[in-house]
Amino acid sequence: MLVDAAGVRISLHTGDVLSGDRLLLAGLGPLRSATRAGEDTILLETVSGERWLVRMSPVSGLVAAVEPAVAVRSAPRGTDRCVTVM
Amino acid sequence: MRHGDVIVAGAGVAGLLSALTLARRGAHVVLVEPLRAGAGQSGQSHGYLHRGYAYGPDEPQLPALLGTAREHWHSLLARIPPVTADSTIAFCDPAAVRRAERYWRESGLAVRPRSTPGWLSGTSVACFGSAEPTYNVGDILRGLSAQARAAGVESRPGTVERIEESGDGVRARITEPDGGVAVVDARAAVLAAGAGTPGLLARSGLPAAVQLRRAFMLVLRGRLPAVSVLFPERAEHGLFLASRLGADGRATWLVSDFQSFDSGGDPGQLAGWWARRVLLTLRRVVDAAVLARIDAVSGYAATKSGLLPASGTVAHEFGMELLGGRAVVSTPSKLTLAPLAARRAVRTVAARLGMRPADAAWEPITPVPAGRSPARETWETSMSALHHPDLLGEPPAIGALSELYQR
Repeated sequence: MLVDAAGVRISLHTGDVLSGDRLLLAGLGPLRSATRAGEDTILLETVSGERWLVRMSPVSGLVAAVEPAVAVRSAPRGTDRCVTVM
Repeated sequence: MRHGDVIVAGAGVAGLLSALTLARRGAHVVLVEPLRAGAGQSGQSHGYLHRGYAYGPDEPQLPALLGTAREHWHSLLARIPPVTADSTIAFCDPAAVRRAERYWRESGLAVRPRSTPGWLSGTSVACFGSAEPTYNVGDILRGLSAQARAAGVESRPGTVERIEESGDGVRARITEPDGGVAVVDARAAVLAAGAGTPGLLARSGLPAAVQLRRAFMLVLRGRLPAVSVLFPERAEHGLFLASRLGADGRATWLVSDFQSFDSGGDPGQLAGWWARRVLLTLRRVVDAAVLARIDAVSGYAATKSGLLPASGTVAHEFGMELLGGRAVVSTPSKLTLAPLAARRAVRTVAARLGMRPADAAWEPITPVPAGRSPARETWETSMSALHHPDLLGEPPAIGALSELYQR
């Protein structure tokens, strides 16, 4: 389970994105990595290599958007561990 | 300039109940709605009504609120036929079934043992039954609208742009469908515009008392059984599935969940992500032969509103007085609580108008003949669909599902 500086938790097993006890985004399955891609954005990479940007609202703290990641550097391969940018 | 005793902004369930009750007490009510009754939040929230099976130990105030609301609905729905006579609560974890069944029974809901129905795959779920029926919100809205007309409620198409103090009452500026502007003076106002309420408050220079959240619905059509079921996937998350039967023998399954998202900006492919996750869950628990009978997949984005301060997914407050009691915001956080919000609004307005304070019992909603009901509800008409999806194979891609939510 990834816990980042903003208190967002991400389960690499399920892909769920949580804040405290609240489920912010139900995952679609296992993740290879979860990485901060900006102040309000998280990059999720699935085990099959799909990459998705999850944008959080700084106002509500809820998920505001999900987009396919293009032109965003991937997390290092060859590991199942999450990579965290604090 | 037109005049009324009360302006009601929004013809959803709370607005219609407020308008109807005040008109029956003798008030001249002007009901302002930009589209059609229930075209906004009331219809989009779920498209069906349940009377309170969706809660758990983390929402300790809800059993009492829903119990009170259930008594209101018992009177209101006495003549409305339910779509399903009861509901199924299904969990993948038998221990969770036992915990939930005990909690719901202790909260006053009638529950009973139930074997897994055939349309659920028998290997992965355990069930209990609830005596809670489900209703088509469209039937309720049509019945309330007809009764409001009969009671003398004056319906005006348009949007209340601004509300302000005027003398001893309020003045509403209304944008009409042709772009014209009308002004209506009244002694009081009920602001029940759902997702439109924050904008109305902002334009009026009133406190930002209402927050909005985005939610999604998945709509499946086919020759399916009429069901009402809840799949709690985890403590605070799960799927609701309810049905509506069409005259052609096909059923519509409406699927929603507890998740809500930020309502601002472009959500990108969030809807498709959400819909794919729902389809994956359904594929895990619904019998394959039933899934194969789904011949169309569609969906729509909905908006939820609730009074600030927020208290999680369900606010326990649903009325707020503004303009020194001349106006009341009426925004139930759950459709099931709409009668409580309407009763609160009526009480505020009645006091201002000097009406008798006693709360009369609700009169039953008169059902509109089935032949006058549309094949599809107002909030569904502009949906696009994926036809003949292969839900047993690879589910539709997130991008393709997202396109269904683009109106």
